[in-house]
Amino acid sequence: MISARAALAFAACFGRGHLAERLTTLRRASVPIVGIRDGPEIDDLSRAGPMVDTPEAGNDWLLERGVGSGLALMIPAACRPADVLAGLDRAIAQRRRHRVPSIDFDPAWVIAESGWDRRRAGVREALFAVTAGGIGTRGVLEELTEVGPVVLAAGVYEGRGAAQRLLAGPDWTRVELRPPPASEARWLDLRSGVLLRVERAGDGPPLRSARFASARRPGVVAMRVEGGAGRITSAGPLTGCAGEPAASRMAVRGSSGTVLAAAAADSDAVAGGVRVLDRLGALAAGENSAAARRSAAGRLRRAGQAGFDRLLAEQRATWAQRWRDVDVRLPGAPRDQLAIRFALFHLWSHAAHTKELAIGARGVTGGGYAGHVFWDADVYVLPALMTMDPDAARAMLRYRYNRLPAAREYARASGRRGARFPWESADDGTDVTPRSGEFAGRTLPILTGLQEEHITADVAWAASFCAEWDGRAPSRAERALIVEAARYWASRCRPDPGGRAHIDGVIGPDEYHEAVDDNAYTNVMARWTLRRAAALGTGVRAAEALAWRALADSLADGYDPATGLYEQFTGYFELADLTMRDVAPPPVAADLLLGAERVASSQLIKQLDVLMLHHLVPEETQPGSLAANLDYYLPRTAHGSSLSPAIAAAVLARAGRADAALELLRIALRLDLDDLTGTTAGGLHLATLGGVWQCLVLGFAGARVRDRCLHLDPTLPAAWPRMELRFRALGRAVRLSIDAQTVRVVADAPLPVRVGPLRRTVPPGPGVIFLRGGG
Amino acid sequence: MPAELINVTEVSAWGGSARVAAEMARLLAAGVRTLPADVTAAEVIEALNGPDALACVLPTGNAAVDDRSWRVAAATTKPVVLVPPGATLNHPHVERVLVPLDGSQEVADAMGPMAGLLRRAGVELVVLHVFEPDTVPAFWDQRAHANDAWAHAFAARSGAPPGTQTELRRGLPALQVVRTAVLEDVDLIAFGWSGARSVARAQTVRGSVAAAPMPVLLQQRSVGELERRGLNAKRGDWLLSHAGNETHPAQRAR
Repeated sequence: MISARAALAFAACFGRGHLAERLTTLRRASVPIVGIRDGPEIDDLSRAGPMVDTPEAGNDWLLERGVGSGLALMIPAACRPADVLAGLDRAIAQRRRHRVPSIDFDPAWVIAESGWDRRRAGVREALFAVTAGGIGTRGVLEELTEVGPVVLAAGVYEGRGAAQRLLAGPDWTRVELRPPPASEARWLDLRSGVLLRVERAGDGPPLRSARFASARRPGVVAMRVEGGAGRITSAGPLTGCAGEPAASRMAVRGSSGTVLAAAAADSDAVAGGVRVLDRLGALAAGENSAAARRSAAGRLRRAGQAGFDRLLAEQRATWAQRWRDVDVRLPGAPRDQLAIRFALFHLWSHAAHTKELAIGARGVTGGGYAGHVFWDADVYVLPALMTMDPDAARAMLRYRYNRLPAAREYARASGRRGARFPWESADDGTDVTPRSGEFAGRTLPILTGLQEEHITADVAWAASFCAEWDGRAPSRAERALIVEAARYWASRCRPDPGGRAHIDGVIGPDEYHEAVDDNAYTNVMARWTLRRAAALGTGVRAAEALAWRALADSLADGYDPATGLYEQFTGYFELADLTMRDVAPPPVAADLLLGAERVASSQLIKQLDVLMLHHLVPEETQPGSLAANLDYYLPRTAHGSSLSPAIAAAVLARAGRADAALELLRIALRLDLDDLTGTTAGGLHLATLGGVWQCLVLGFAGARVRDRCLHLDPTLPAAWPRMELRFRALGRAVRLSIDAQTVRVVADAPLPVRVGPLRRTVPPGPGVIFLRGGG
Repeated sequence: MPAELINVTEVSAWGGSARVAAEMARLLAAGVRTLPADVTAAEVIEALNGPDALACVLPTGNAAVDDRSWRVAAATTKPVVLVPPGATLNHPHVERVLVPLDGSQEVADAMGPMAGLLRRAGVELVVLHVFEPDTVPAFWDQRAHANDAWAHAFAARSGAPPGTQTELRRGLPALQVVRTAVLEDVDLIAFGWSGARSVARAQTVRGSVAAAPMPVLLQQRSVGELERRGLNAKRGDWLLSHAGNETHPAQRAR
């Protein structure tokens, strides 16, 4: 709603009567207005482009951008009131004609691609995926067929065992366009979650389409297509993958019996030679066909009652609220800022308040990696979502908790106690890691499923992180995950005659080296888990806690006080001492370059291993050990995993090496946008997106929650003279504004904050400014 | 005038070249015009430049015929099939063709029309990419999945239809091409190349021809005869593209 002060200022310029009339019309057209301010200083805007400075430019600006929630109208003093009102009238008329809406073409918020490029077709489909409520729709062109799975739902799989993969849902995007556009551009508006397509040349009315997945109504999707009257045809709103005829109701069944149902309806109108096709759809997953179909039908009915324009207004309002809560501003670094917003957009899009949330390696933006859930979810995505949408992060944890029985069985089958989580997980929590894989013409045994056991500690860490970041005691489910993980590690350790405990035959995060003993990461995370569980108190027997603490104290961690280094695993330092300078500039898949055997016999590592400890559990590492281990391991890191660059950047930031951090972060920022892996067509790399946001919040801002207090230790690269972050912590909406000298902290509720030696409780309001370096 | 395939006879009595010519003619729906074994490169090129000539089959095997073969291949944008001594089709007809791609758009474009034609004739295509030190990917995540993920995306980038078998190898390209051709039981190896031929690509092609037990087709990038005669690749097939002027597949199908 308009602030009273702004309303008065506006009315003074334009006449109260005119204002009331226009605002009434806009509200009737379902256009909620956030605020109207007079003057150049707008608190909610961050425009990279020039301010409009003529009445004509103002009118064009209004018409092009439309009027919608989240938009603060900036009225230059030079604008004539009549011109402004005329612009608003035109926007209203556009809305009344129910035409394809425009977006705000603000380069700070829009991912744009133009033309047809076969080489990037699949990449664009992933980049332009619209996702909400755990259901994603790839950005396929409406008229193309043979495009592979378009609609995917988190946690809904088909197949058995390692062959499980995400089930392809009914496709709601198919429209026949005759002829299709010869030249076009597409924009993904990150601010509103709308994918817009506009034909650039051709005869007759240009083809335009807009689609989105409703962030307000999970499972509801909407599309509007307009073009010449004879150009657009629809055989039916839903098409399946198996060649079945188009229909308005469809359902597919997953391997566990889960049904993904869809209901959709088309409506259209022709006026002035332009046909406008509206398509509303609803998808729902259910335990049986009847429930899923009922749910989809109900969602569609309610969506139909609202209509496309109201759904769009809700979409804009919901996303506007999201960006008010979570955002980044980097004055002077627009390219970095846009890429970070891209990461935030897709992370937000995957946030769902469902009974549980399974986020696979590529989310629901593609079928890559079969939708299997790795530690990517627990260590890379969940922490990011905790700072954005804690309810969604907790839904991710429920995915793990609901599979605790399977994890207990896995531990039992391994001859252990407690719970052992599988390296790759899908529907029922059993291990779905393939046992062999192709590697450049060779069939190699895949040992990650058997040996990469650190995931059990990672799940426990995620559970603890949720509670800590929320500033509360762990819930029953979180305690269960931590305790069962501790029981597993307690049974997994091998004591030696000297009283030291060891964990043999594992794979750490660095997968170039297999079947290693006393991997520092695994051992220290296991130790952390034991100590964390022992400290829980509730639900843990005193004797058990005592044993865990003793075991934790005896676990070998490879640390050498003389050098300050952690040996990554027993015997690591005896391997051939290759660095990446000897091989190739990272990032590079060193195993492909040199061969798996050669790499395994060297000290080259795929991604951060020891250094992950300094990121996840710095309190569990030796004080002052970060620099030495950075200096040793980073030159030997190939960054051959897409998970590596962002977290390496975060660790570098913690070490005060902000410029070096930014270099690596920029690789992560472009990973999907520039298809650096060559596999973005299979879906976005969710772990990279999560790592990017972690680098901002945990790395550059140095944010940590300890004992219900937000600790900040910011550092900025030279290219970023100022950084503004918005995120959630301790149940508050937090805004940080960081420059070389100060950290300004704003919160919407009293927030304990420590910056350096200073601890203050930041009250709601204008915030508190801390001087960096204390003060 | 009916389309024709230029077939240069072999000096030896092996007859493999003639059989290859007959099979290629069947695929191209063309007749066979036979030239004598001692025909010069210039004469072959002149024949190929004829409006009805679609492609050429040339035996290799000694320095003279090899030199002639390379001259012809370099001078034409029509498909040239080289038949090394003893090379033969593995099946009664051309059933499987190995298509080595180096990841460049030029090579993928060069193969576009021929690949489309082969597919429509029911030939199964196997794409091959050999990682070299300067083309090794930056990232290779999980070995259980990365090969399939990368291969699938590579095939799509190259314009191959969904489901095309795609093999990845690392090592010396020529060696890997021949090994894979044998392993995959293909009848033909088909190389595309652009006008700006790289030294490395030429080495790979020459090495493959020298060692392959099956014929090797060379296709230089061009909007060529195959398209002029209406043998356009359809939507979903590999298509020619020109930087900044790529045509939407649905447009080409109109």
